[in-house]
Amino acid sequence: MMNHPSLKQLIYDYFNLNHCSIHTEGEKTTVHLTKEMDQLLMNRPFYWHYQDMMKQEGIPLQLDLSFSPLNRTNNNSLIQLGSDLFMKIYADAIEKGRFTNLYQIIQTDKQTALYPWLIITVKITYKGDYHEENMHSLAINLIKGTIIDHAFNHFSNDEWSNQISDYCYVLTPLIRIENGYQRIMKCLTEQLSYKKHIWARYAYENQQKHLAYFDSMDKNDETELENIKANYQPSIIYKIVNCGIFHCS
Amino acid sequence: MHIKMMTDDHTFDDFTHALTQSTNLATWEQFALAHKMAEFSLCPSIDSLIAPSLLSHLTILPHQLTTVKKVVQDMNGRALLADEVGLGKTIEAGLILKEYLIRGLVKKVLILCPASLNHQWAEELYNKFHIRTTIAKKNPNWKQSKIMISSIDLAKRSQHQDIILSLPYDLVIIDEAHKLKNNRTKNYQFVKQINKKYCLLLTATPVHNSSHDLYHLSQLIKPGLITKKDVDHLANDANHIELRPKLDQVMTRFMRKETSIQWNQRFSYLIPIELNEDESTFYQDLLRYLRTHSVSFYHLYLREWCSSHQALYLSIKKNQLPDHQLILNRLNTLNEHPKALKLIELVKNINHKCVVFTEFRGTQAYLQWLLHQHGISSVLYSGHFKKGKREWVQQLFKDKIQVMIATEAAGEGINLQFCHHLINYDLPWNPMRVEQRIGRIHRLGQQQDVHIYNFSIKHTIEDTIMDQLYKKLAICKWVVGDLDEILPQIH
Repeated sequence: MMNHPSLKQLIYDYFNLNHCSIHTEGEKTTVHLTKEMDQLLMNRPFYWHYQDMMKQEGIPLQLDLSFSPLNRTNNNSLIQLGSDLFMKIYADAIEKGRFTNLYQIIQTDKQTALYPWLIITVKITYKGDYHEENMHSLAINLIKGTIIDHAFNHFSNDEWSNQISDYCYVLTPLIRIENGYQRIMKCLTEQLSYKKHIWARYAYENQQKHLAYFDSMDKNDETELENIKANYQPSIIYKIVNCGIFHCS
Repeated sequence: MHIKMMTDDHTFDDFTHALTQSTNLATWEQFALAHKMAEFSLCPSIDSLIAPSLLSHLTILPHQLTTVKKVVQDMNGRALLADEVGLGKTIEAGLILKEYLIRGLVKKVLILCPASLNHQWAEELYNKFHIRTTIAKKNPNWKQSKIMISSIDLAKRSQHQDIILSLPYDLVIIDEAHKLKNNRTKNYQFVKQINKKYCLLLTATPVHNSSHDLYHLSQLIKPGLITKKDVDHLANDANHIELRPKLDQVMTRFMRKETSIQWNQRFSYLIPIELNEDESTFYQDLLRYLRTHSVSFYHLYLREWCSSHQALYLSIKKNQLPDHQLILNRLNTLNEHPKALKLIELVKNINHKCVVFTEFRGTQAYLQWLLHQHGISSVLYSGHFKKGKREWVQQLFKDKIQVMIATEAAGEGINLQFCHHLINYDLPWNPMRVEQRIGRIHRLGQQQDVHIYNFSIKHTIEDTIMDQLYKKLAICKWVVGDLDEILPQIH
């Protein structure tokens, strides 16, 4: 993570997907926003409200980007983990890419059956006096029940469309989607249970230690007691990044 | 051991809903971009910090990085940051805050610092860490503002306090935290009651008058870890050895000499002053007068006279001491103050910029007048000044003026590294306040060796103050390690 070319590429992809043109000149990157993107990113509701009132088109802004704090000036916006603009773009990209229903693009003149897969990408956060995040992408074949790991990478090799290709037809799932979800979650939890989770043991030990200190002192301060408990409580949090049905041959 | 598990069934319900409605369904490109964005933003194990890699424009010193790692990785975000003055505690706090923000572990933050430092904090967090904050002014919106900077005095007013205490804070940062050393004060009780997950207390001087100061501060961070017994007889070696590892779980502290930075040396000199016969008699008479009238806090009046006739005059007038006319009349017959004359001599000898610290405002004005009589330019500085005026005075001192005469309130938050002579015209009871003063010039960016001159009038209260300072310094040494030279070594 954190290497600039890949972040730059993601940001370029984002603006391209949203129909904004990008111009680069050395280190300088300029994005010509569309009206929609201007309204989303530039935080000038009064301007756009005024244009609407006057029944005018309005002129979207150009946005200068900087991918390093060393190049940051008053005239450009810093793109980096945690920066204001990145957070906005991130939230929008995640929101727009959450759910999908896709069909493999197949050039064929024969009747071809497409199997439905449920793909789920989960972000897992480990928390206690420790912190780490990682991501798992799993998919289940809703006819056969096969579960595969690294599903996103697996499906990335094919081409996908929201429309089904000619001569193709979809097989009706034998496994209900909800049931597929349960199976994937169970599989994920099993994978986790094989690990030792030393971080969790440390967190738990530290929690007990600090509760004991606290106990010797001030038992009336409920808030502080709860805070100490919560601060060290080992927990694993699942967050679904995105999920979709992929129909493939 | 129980690991708490939290699933995200809700999002899956949304998905099945979107599917049946055939709405909000992404294209492959959008789906893939969301996946890659999420992957890019994943936080690695807390064993490797993210924040420093995002701040390539900032020079982070090795000791600062060590501190940040220790606080985030070993102390679970609750710590007393107690580096010596001028080693960049604000940078450390900023880095910790940034790390937690990036990791999403912290969203709601309260920063409490003296009002005079509000803007400095806001600017530093924005310029160095790209963190936007709100400064609490007339009608602060405590609920809405994610990162609020306020003075304690404002925050503890009842109408604000009630709201603050009802909110859960992820992180509370308190600058100049030595002001919380007394657990009976309202400030202390207020801070103790704030509902907080992580907590950073910043002070260069965690021990002021007694080791109990440290005890009370530690209760805000890790309640119960350090006990009263631990600090009761610190001079005792056995206690000292037991306390050390506990202290290590509460406090981070670097000394100048431990850092990789090439520090300039610090020299301190004692400047003793003799009273002549008239003055000596007056001092004894003043002492007798104060005792016979059983004036409370009579030490203060003695100290004032040792500072300047003006300081005593103003104070006696203000407090309407009984039968004071005689004393005031005699005060008027005295010549220029011997200490002030010594100052003139010293300033002329130094022939460079110097900062003069006094405890009393009366003295401030008198010294300016006397310096002017001898053709020496000076500016007055006080912590009560508004931000604009403070900056202007600092600039004036830097560009044109030889002497800055500052009161105690100026001991914090100003940076005068362009000046390397400091005169403690009168000394406070508390060695840490002396250290705070010295920190104004002996900090990062100082190019020269630093010279400290401590004035003390022989056979007066100032002798006693000097004794006390040496004793207290011995206690500080146990707890926070050797201090750089504040007073000259006595053998």
